[in-house]
Amino acid sequence: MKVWAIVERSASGPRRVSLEIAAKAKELGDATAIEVTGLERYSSLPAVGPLATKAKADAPDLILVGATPTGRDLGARLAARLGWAYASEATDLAVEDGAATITRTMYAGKVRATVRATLPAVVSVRPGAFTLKSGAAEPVVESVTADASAEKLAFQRFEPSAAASGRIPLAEARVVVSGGRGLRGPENWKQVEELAGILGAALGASRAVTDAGWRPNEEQVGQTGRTVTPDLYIALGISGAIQHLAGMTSSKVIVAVNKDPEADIFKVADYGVVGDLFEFLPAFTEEVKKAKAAA
Amino acid sequence: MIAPTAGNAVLVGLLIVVWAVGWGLFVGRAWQLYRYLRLGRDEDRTQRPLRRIRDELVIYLGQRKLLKRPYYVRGLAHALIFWGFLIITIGTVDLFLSGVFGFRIPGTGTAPFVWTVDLFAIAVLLSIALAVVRRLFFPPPRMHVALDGYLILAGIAFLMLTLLLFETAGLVAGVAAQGFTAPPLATLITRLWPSPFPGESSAVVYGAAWWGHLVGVAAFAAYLPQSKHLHIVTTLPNVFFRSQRPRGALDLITKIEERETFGAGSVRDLSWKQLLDGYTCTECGRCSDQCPALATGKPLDPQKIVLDVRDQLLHEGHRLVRDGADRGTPPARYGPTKTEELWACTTCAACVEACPVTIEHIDKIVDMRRWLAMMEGDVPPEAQRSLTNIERAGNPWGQPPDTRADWAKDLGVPTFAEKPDAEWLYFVGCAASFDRRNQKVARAVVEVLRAADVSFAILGTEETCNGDPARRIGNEYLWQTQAQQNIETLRKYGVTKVIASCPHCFNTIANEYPQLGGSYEVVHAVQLVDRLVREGKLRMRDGATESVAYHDPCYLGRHNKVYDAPRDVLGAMPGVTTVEIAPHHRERGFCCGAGGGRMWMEEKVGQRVNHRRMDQILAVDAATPVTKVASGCPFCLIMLDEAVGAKAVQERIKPIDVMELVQARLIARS
Amino acid sequence: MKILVCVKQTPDSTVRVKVAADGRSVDASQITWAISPYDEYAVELALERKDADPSTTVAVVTLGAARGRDALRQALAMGCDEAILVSGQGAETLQGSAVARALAKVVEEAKADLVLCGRQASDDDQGLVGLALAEALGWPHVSTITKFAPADAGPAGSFNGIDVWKEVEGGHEVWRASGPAVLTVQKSEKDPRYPSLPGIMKAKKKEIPEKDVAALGIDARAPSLEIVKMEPPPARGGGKILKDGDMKQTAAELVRLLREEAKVL
Repeated sequence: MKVWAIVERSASGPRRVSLEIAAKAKELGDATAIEVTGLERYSSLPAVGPLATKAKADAPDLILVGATPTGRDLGARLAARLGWAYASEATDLAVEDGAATITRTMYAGKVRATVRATLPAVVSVRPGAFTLKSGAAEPVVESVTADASAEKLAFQRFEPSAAASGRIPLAEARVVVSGGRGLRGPENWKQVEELAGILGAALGASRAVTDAGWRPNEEQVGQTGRTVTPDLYIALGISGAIQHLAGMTSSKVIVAVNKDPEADIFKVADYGVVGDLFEFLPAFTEEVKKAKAAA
Repeated sequence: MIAPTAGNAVLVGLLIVVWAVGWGLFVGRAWQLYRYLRLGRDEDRTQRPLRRIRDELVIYLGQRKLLKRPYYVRGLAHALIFWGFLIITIGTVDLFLSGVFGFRIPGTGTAPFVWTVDLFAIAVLLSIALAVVRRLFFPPPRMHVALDGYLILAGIAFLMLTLLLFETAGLVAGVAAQGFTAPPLATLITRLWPSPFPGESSAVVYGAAWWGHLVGVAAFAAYLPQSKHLHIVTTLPNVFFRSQRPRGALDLITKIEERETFGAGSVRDLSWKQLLDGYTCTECGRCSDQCPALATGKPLDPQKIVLDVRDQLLHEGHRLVRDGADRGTPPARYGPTKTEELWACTTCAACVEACPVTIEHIDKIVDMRRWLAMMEGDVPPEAQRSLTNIERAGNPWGQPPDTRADWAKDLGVPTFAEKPDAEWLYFVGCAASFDRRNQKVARAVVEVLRAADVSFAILGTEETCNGDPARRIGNEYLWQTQAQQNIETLRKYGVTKVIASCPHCFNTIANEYPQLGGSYEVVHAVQLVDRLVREGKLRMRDGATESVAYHDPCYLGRHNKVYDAPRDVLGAMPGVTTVEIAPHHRERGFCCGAGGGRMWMEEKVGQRVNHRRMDQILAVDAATPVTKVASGCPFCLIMLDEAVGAKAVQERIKPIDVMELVQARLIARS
Repeated sequence: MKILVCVKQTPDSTVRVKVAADGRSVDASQITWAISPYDEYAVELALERKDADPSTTVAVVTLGAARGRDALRQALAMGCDEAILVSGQGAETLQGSAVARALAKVVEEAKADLVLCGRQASDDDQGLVGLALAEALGWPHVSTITKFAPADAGPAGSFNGIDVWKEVEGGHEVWRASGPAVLTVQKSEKDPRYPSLPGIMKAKKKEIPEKDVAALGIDARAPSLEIVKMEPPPARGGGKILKDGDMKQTAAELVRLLREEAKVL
């Protein structure tokens, strides 16, 4: 069984999800890690062409790609070019009898589905679906040169977003750390920002604190603010009013910290801590720091 | 008094000409205003004629709406001016008739009449003096103190003075007619001051004052239609044709499927009555004084809404009359801040309650919102989301409709499907169904109804939003859709009696569903409890001794005049002392800020309305500490909950529903 | 410019999706159908272009069951000029690249200069058809866009190419397409416009031509995903509450749970 893992690079090296799928590919069979070089920034036509040519030649049974925006773009177009089956955002994957059994969500995350795709197939894999074993060796990555002649678009420029300044946008964040009135005042947000920084998380806020002017409106999570679907949502000092819940109950895992044991947030939390936020938060931040360092 | 024109045909002719000119100008301009008025949409305002007559007597003649706190003294001053005007007008007509025909109206020479005239003249002069002093030195913040006002005051004063002058001079000059009582004031003056006029000039003074009075009246008449003082004429029809709908009911857009435009796209789309309101506004500012939006810094001023209608009509009227195809500007777009003004309204009706000349502010605001919502789709986005949620999920929160009855899951509350012979329908409403805090209130209602052996059932997942937010925001179509759905379900189960724990459900089902054919006996839960307590079917035991402030929900209180039932229920609770949030209680209750669809909109300007309400509660609390603030509305509860948190008093003062207090004190059934 | 927007009718997100008795599909009885949210953004972007340049025509197409007409009516009510329903036997079960081939036929017949669709449908969450459509047409595509505008101020009505804003981490990449392209939409800056009531009334009366998918003459075979099992995600609530012990212990315990049990750290 031949498996390809398409590698995406960031400034600091292969993306974590690429390493995860490369490791998974090795598990599944004869694995090749492959990347497209020669492109200053991703564009589908120059990348898909050479990959398709090589795929026709080498005939892998399964091509894995990380479900990043680039990966999903590349994976779908490649599957269409090759005429292969395509499944996106797999959270689990197994192969048997010439078919891939893929676990993924459907209906905007409301349903968990197990689907079967006859091989050959292209599958984009959710980051974090396959945990990387610590100490795993970095794979040898073959490269394929992009075909600039296939390009039909012209890159003009990059426009940084006004609110950017290193802040992670809520919309696609995988982790969100959200603060509510329990934090008592805007001056206490430094701890929230610290935790978010360590977790690589976006900052969220309840309506109460954005109304009070403690946090900007862009951070509001809730019915009149943003709806988020992260893997991890940490609600600090948020009571869990229905309008707020409407914005975050689709999160995969919800952690809530509140001193009121009756707070509604605990009814949707997977893990709840009842206690003094100001005692818990520093301790938790410390523990998370330790865990991340060891990862 | 013998008229100075007696026997002089030229003078008689002059008098006739002067009045013809003055009144001619009046009629001319009034006719133009009338034509503008006719541009407005037709509206039937002839229902309940007996009530209309009663209102005319009480409100117009009796000045009832003026004599209200905190304006009582000022109201009295106005009433005196008005009654004085009525009496003295008889005298003026009498004067004219005597001047032209030598004819006196029978009775105008009698002592009672003459005394009444003089006393009122004094009262009017004093009231005018009061008014002038106030406007010059202590102008009320929301009253337009313009030149027009001073001109009118000066004019009235002039007329009173000329009246007194010619009476006095006439007495001195000896031109009193035989058998007619001498005016008492004139008599008094001449007694104190036998020769008030130099030499033989009294006859001249008499003539001058007499003419001055009548010319003054003619001039007044000519000026009247250019002034807000026109209200003395327009208030008469404005009160007569006031809405006899229940206050909480908005008007129905009939045959909505066949129309091409909705709401006020032009002043032509406002009804003639709404336009008449514009003419009738006296610019007194009482509505502005009571408006919670204006009080907390929003751009909405109810007086401006009304005056803008007038101004737009006067501005565009000539053109529109001339060119039938010209639609003019949509009133919702008349002015750069108009849409912010319109969306800031909570429809609390404090303005309508306060207006002495029965102007209907809310109808105009909603008609303009209807244009924005249904024609332009220009509604604040968060509000739009709630409407879309109502459309798709049957509740403004967008919660899954099949979870609507989950709050009742472990209570074994029967649905009508399970218990078709139930006497009452408990219409739970979206808030009590989906909002966790308010689910507790629904449970309390159930427990109380059971304790009193009331036969009831709920609709369960067959219940859908009553549509109130949609109607207030201006999406009449969505409201009609929702209402028809509920009416159909109620018809299916033969429901005739409905209990609501939410005043918005209560108001729309009781007052608005009949517009679409759904008529039921509808009570708010506290009204039923009040009834049950009186009938001895519900008893409450001693509980904690506590002071509870009562907050009047706008849609229970002002809109439906249910002020006493909740207070009586609280009063029936041993140990509970009800504390009034005076002076902002009952008819002058201050809104929590959630009505008019504002529950679903962001509040970005000024102080939050619910926070201002909390300030008022805390002010009362400072004198008489309270541990709870009770209301009978889920939105008030949500708003007060947020406010106690914001003011950091949530440990001390708990917002609660009256039904929860009843629940806590139920004597268990044996 | 003629823009064709491809929309899919999917279960409305406010209604809870229930797994049917067969354990591998959704219970259709409770569903309220609506235009898939990302597709709605696509319609909005197209209409914004039409607002800016009234000579633009916006057509909208959907492929699937006949009830898709309602989705089309909503798009018409929002302001689209024409609507096309591709239905008929087999339309509902068509998948992936076969759908793309069918839509490609519609694009060609409609002589569209630009195709917009949402980045993924809210039922299968795949994000495939838009890109497969570009492939079938041989056109370039740009995914996850939030805005597009004409590249030049050329003579009105002519298509001189467009600049497209693609959302990426930290901002937007601006790409220029000088020829026809497929754009998949992440969101529009303004919320999708709520149709005016007259728009809704007018749309109710409008003719919507139905094309039989079989008559398009496309190869209906496509590698597909067979749904083997469907289940609701684990129910919310009943979570672990940590409240005893000192905060340091609680914190350590929580981190352990998040790593080993929930696997989110």
